[in-house]
Amino acid sequence: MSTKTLILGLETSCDDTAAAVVQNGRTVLSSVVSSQDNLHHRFGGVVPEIASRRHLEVITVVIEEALDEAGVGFDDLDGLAVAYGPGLVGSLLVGVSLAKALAFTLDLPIIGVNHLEGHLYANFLTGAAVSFPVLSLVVSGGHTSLIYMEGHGQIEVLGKTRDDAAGEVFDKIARALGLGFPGGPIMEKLARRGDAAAFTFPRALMLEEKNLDFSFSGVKTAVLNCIQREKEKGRRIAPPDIAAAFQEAVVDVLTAKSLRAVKEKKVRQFLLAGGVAANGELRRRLRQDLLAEGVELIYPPVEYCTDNGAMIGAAGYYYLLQGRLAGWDLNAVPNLALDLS
Amino acid sequence: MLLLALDTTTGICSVALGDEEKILAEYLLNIKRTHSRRLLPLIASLFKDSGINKNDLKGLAVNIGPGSFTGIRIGLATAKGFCQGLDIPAVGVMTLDALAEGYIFYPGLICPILDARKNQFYTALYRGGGDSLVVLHPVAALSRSELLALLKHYDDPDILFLGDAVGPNRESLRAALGRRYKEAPLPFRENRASLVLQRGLKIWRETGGEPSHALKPFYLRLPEAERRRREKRSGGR
Ligand SMILES: [Zn+2]
Repeated sequence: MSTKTLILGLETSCDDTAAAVVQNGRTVLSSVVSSQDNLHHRFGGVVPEIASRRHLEVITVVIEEALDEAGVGFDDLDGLAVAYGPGLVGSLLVGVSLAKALAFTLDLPIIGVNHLEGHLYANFLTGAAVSFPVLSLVVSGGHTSLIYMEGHGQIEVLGKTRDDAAGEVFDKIARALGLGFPGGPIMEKLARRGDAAAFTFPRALMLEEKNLDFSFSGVKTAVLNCIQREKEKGRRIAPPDIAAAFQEAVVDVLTAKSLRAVKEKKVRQFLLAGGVAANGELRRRLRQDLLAEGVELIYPPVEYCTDNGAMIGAAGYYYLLQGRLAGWDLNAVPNLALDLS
Repeated sequence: MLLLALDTTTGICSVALGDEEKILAEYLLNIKRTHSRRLLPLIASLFKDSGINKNDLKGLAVNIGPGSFTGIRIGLATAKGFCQGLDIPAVGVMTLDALAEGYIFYPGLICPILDARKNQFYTALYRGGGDSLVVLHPVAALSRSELLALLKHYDDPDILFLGDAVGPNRESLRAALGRRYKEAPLPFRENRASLVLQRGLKIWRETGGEPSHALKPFYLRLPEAERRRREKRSGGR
């Protein structure tokens, strides 16, 4: 392998069509994301059939843009990495089918990347020196998982959500408040103007001592009921206050569980990942609490928190180094687990 | 004109390689499942077993539908990847046209029927017997009674049925049409990539193919969520 290894990373797990060229798993030469937010907005959430159709329409153009922006051609590539799960099956199938055909015609190795592991590898694009073992919190619209990683490909899931993902709850509450989609960034902005003490929402599973799992359906129901109650009483709802109190409840839980895992595993670094990793309040609280334990917090730039091709290209590079290659029978696996065993 | 042909729009997963003179290789699996897992291994064997170099390919023909939404996308995403990687053009072929193409010599009505679920067929109506097919009715999703009503407008003594909906509807169609009901023989009754190849070569001669970006699926139906949204909107007016 040459000293400059270029991977094309493809990502179509949900509603973003993304491609990127990544050098040696560390340097992003290009990253193109075609967002579908405007298509799903009117439905209040992602419609799988509409997402799949859109992926097929734009994917070749997105790939071409990624190559052009990186100033490279297909001949310069050393491998093709594609997210094959978890995610929406129809969406995944477009990326996987196209990636396999492309790799076949170009005589390139095809690398099937776990989407969650991809999120985690966005942290390798920060320039920070990651040294194992590390803990990671992957928190997004689809997932909330605490992960212990001893080395590349050595992954143990310590805890995950038993019901809704954290990001999903942000979306649902934003919808109940009539704020639009996706809810995360809008809620965070609102929360800055709100009073977190105006309401108290439950922090589920926090007190169970040894447990590292999450549950957000309790806080979701509490917030939705609260909105309903205020409406019935004819009171003016203050969305900033609700957003602030809700965000605080979620951040409390995420931070407390992360700290507990850090103490258990005695790591020196903590990687935050996933769409909710863009949340400023979560970053601030985690950094502060981890610092007190002497643990360094690393998180990706905002554009690599949400779904993107660069994180898949980065993970793909390390898969390639380990010889974790897929065959032409690679399939989409909508409920793909993170533990390799 | 060496073309690769793909068909994954029904329960059949089929690939073929050939030109105007010969079908060099063709594989067909009729086991209904996981086209995504089987399609590329089939293509890889096609090249390996025939000894054809993929770089000698001039273009690609793919079935664009109607059929299973997922099946259409697996075929088209694969076709697009192939064309983008080899920098070759593609032609999109419609399922029912490809099926009818095999009976171009047939002097009566040709009526392909595909299972469209929701008690409908994807169907169209052609007349053969000349140098090319005459399209009497374009592709549509019709119920059995709608199809029978359509057929009443024609007095051809024979109607040839083909497609994957033939088996489950044989008895009822025969009961309604009597001796006019004819059925295509098994080897060319259902989808297969060589039919896509044949139809694709014809389109190729007219258009020379199109860039892979331009390749479009033919779903015929809107996504369910979009259909419901429009229904609600027009109902509220
Ligand atoms: Zn994601």
